[in-house]
Amino acid sequence: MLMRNLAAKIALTPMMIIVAVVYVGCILWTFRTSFTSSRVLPTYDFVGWDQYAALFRSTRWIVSLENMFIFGAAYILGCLIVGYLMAIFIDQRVRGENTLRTIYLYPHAMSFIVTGLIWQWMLNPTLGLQDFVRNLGWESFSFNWIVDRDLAIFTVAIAGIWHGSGFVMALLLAGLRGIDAEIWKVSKIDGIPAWRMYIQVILPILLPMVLTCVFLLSAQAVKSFDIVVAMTNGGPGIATEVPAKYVMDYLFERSNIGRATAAATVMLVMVISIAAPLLYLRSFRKERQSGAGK
Amino acid sequence: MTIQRLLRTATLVAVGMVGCASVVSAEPLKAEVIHWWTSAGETRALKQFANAFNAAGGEWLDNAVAGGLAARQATISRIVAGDPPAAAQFNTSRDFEELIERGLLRSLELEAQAGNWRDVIPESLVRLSSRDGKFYALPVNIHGRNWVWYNTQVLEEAGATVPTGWGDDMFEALDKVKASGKLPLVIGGNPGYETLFFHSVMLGVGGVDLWMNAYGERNKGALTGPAMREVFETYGRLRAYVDEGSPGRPWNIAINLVITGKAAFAPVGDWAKGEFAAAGMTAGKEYGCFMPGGIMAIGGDVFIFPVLDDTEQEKAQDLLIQTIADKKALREFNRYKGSVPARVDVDMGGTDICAEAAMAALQKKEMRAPRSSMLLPADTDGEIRDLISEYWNDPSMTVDEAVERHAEILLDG
Amino acid sequence: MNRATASADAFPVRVRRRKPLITPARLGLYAFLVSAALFFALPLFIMVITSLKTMDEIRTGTIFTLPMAFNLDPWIKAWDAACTGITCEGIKVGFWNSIRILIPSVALSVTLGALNGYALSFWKFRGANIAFALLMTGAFVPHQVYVFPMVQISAALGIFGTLHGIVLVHVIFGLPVMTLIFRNYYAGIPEEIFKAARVDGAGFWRIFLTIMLPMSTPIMIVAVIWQVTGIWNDFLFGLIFAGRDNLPMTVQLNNIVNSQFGEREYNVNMAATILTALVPLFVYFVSGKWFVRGIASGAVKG
Repeated sequence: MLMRNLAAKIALTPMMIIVAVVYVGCILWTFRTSFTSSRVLPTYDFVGWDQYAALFRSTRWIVSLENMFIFGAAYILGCLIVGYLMAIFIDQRVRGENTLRTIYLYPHAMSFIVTGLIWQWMLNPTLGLQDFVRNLGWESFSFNWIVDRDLAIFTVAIAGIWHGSGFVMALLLAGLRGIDAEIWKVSKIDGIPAWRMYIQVILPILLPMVLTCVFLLSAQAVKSFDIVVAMTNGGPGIATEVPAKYVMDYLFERSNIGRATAAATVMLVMVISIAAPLLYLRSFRKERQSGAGK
Repeated sequence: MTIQRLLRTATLVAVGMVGCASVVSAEPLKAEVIHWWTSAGETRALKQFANAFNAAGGEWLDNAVAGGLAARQATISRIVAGDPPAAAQFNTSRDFEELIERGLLRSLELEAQAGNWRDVIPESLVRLSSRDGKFYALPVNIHGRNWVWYNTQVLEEAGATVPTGWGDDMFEALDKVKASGKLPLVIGGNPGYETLFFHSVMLGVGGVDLWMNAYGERNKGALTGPAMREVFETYGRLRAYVDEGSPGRPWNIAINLVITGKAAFAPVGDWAKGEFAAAGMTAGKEYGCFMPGGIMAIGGDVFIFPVLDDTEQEKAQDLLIQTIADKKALREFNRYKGSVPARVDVDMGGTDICAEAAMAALQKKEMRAPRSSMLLPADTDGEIRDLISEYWNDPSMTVDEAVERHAEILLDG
Repeated sequence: MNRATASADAFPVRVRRRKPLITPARLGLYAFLVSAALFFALPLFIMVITSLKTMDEIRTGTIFTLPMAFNLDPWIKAWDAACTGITCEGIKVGFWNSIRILIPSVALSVTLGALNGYALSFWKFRGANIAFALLMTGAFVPHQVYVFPMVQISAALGIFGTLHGIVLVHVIFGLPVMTLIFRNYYAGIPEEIFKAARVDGAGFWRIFLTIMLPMSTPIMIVAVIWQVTGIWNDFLFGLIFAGRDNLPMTVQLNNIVNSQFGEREYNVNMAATILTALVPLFVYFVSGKWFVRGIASGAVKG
C-alpha cells in the first residue's frame, strides 16, 4: 500500500509544487493585493474594502457581470450544441472528413486580434452583411446587432461560438470514437432511433468529456476579453464590457492593480460559489453509486 | 624553470587582459530600447534616433512591441525582475510617476540643465517629466489630439464653409452636408476616440479655462457649471450627425471615409495625416484641418531611463540620452513621425500647413492644453472614457446625469 | 456508413436490401456539414480575399469585393519585409523562436497532464482531490493577473528572460486544462482494466506506460491541439518571460497588425495572420490520421 502511494505521490509532486507555489500563492497574492492601494506596482499597505466599494459603485462593473452570464450561457450552450452536432455528423463516415474537421477547427488557431476585426467588419451594418444584402436589392434588410446596445453581446457570443465549437467537436469526436461500436447493434435490435441514442445513451457515456468541455468553455467564458476587445472594445458605450476586460484594463492600462485584483477576487468567489455546490452534488452522487455497488 | 614559467604565464595573462580590455572598449555601447513605434512611418521616424546612436558609437538594440499597453507591461515587468532596458517609451501620462517615486528611474537633471530643457519644453510637459526639481523623463514629441479633418470637395459640393470650431458654424456645415447625402461626421467608434472627440468639443466650447479648471484644479463650480453643461449638450447634439455604423468603427476607417469622399468631417489626432499621405492627398488641397478654437490639446511620448547596475550599460545609456535629446535628431524624428518636437525652439519649416499651425499654437502658452492623462491618474482618466462612451451611445442619458457623474468621477477619484 | 453497416449486421432478416447511396437523411447530413463549413469558412474567405487586394482596392471596395488580380505581394511582405520595429524583415524573424518554445512546452505539459490525470483517476489518495480542485479554481482567474507574482518567482529562480522561463510559464498555465482533460478521459476507462493489471502485479509506471498511454491516442491529440494552439498564439507571456533573444513570432505579428497610430495595411495584416496560424493548422490537419475509431475501444476490449 505504501509503495503504491509512493509512486503516485512522486508522479504528482510537480503538480503539487505548482499548485502550492503558483496557484495557491498567486490566489493568496491576488486576495492580499485587493486590500491595498497598489497602482503601477504592487504595494502592501492596507485600505480595507475601499477597492471593493469602488468596484461595486461602478456601472461598468455591474454591466460586466451581467454580460458575463449572458455571454457565458449563450457561448457554452452554443458551443456544446454546435460542437456535438458537428461531431455526430462528422462521425457518419462522410467524405472529406479531414477537410471538414480542419475547417471547423481552424478558427481556434487564429489570433483574435485579426479574426475579431473580420467579424466586426462583417457585422457592421455599413460595411458588412447588411450593406451587402441591401446592395443585392433587399433594401429593408436589417442586421445591426453589433451596434445595438441590447443585442451586441450576442454578436460577441456568435463569434465566440465560431471560435470555440470546433474544439468541442474535436473533443467529443475523440469521445465518440472511443465508444464501443457494439452499442449500435444493440440499439438497432431494440429499434431505438439514432437521435434518441445520441441523447439518451451516447451523451451519458460521453459525460466526462462533456464535463471537460463545460469546464473549458466556462473558464474561457469567464476569462475571455480579447474577443470583446477585438470586436466591440466593450461598446457601444459599455454595452459589451466583461469582467475579465475590466481586470485587464485596471491591471495595465489604468494602472490600478488594487482594483484589478479586487475584481479578480470577486470573479473567483463567484466561480467558486457556483462550482462548489455542483461539485459537492456530483461527488455525493458518486459516493452513493459506489456505495450501492458494494 | 618554475620562475620562468611563472613569468611567462603572468605575461600571457597580462597580454590576455589587455587584449580583453581593448576588445571591450572597441565593442559598441549596447542599449536596448522598448517602444511601440512599429508601423512603416513610425519606423522611419525612429530610425533617425537609432542611426544617430549607432553613428555615435552605440548599438541600438531594438525591442518593438506594438500597442502601448503591452510595451509598458514589458518594461515594468523587466524593471520588477531586475533586468531593465536602457530606455523605454511612455505616453505623456502619469504612468511612470510611481517608478520615479520608487527610485527606479535615472535622473536626467544634468542633461536637462545642460540642454536648457526648462526654458524650451512646454511647462505642462516639464511638470509631468520632473519631480522635486529633477527631470526623470525626456519628452520627444507632441501630438495634437483635437484636430478636425475634412474633405474639401465634399464641403464644396454641399455648399458648406469651413467652420472654426464646434459652434453654430459647424452645425450649419453639418446640416448642409447631411442634406447633400454624404455622411456629415465620422468618428472612431470606441471609448478612446469618442472621448478624444468629446475633449475636442470641450476645448472648442469651453476653452483652456474650463479645461484647466475641470481637469487641472478639479473645481466643483467648473465641473457643474453652465459651461460644462453646454459642452455635454453640444456633444449630445452631435449624435444626430453620425451614421448607424459608427460604433466599433476604427479611427482609420473613419478617416478613410473622409479620404474617399463619403464623409465630410472626422475628429482624430494628427496621426490621421499618415492615412491621408498614404492615399496621396495633400493638406490644404484635397483635405483640410483645423483645431477648434485654435487651441491645441497636446499629448505625446517621452523616454524614461531605468537605473542600471552595470557601468558599461550606463555609458551606453549616457550616449543614448545625448543622442535622443539632440535638436537635430528630434527634428528629423518628428518630421517623419508627423508630430512636432517637444520643445519650441526647433524649426519645423518646410512641413505641411497642419504642422505649421500646430507649431504656431504651441508657441502660445494660452493656446495649449495638456491631454487629460497628463493631469489625471490613469484610472480616473479611464473612468471618464467609460462615462463619455456610455453617454455618447445612450441617447436616453440626460445632460444632468452626465454632468453629475462626470463631476463625481473627478471629485472622488 | 457506420450506422448502415451496423444495421445490416444486426438485422439480417428484417433489413435485407442494401441502403441506397443517396437517401434524404444522407442529403440532410451533407447539407448540415456543408452549411456549417460555409459559416466557419466565411471569415477566412474574407481574410484571404482581403490579403490578395491592393490597399487602393481595400480603400474603395467593400469587404466582399473580389480582388481584381491575384496579388501575392502582401504575403511576401508579411513574411519577409513588413516592419516590426526598426528592422523590416517580416514575421519570419520569430518563427524558430516560436518552434523552440513550442516543442518543449507542449511535450512537457502534455506528459505532465497525462501523468497527473492517470494518477488522479486510479491512485486516489488524500489531498489529491483538494490539489486538483485548487488547480481548477486557478484556471478561472485571468492569467494576466498572475504576471507580477510570476515575474518575481521567475526572477528568483534566475530564469526570467530565458527559454527555460517561458517554457516553465507555459507548463504551469497549461497544467489545469491538461490535467483535467486526461483525468476525465481516464475516468471513462473501466476500473476492471486497472484492477486486472494490478492483479498481474504491474506497478504504477508499468500500467501507465504499457496500458494507459497506448489507449490515450485520441485524447493525446486533443491535448496537443489545445496546447499547440494556446502556446503558439500566446503573445503576452512570450513577450514578458522569454527575453529579447527568444521573442515568439506573435510579437512580430502583433507589431504588424496592432500598430495603434500608423497607417494600417489590412492586406499585409491578413496575410501575416494566416501565415502565423499555419503551424497549428498543420497540426490540426495531420492529427486527423489519429482520429480513428477503435484505438481506445480496441484496447479496452483487449
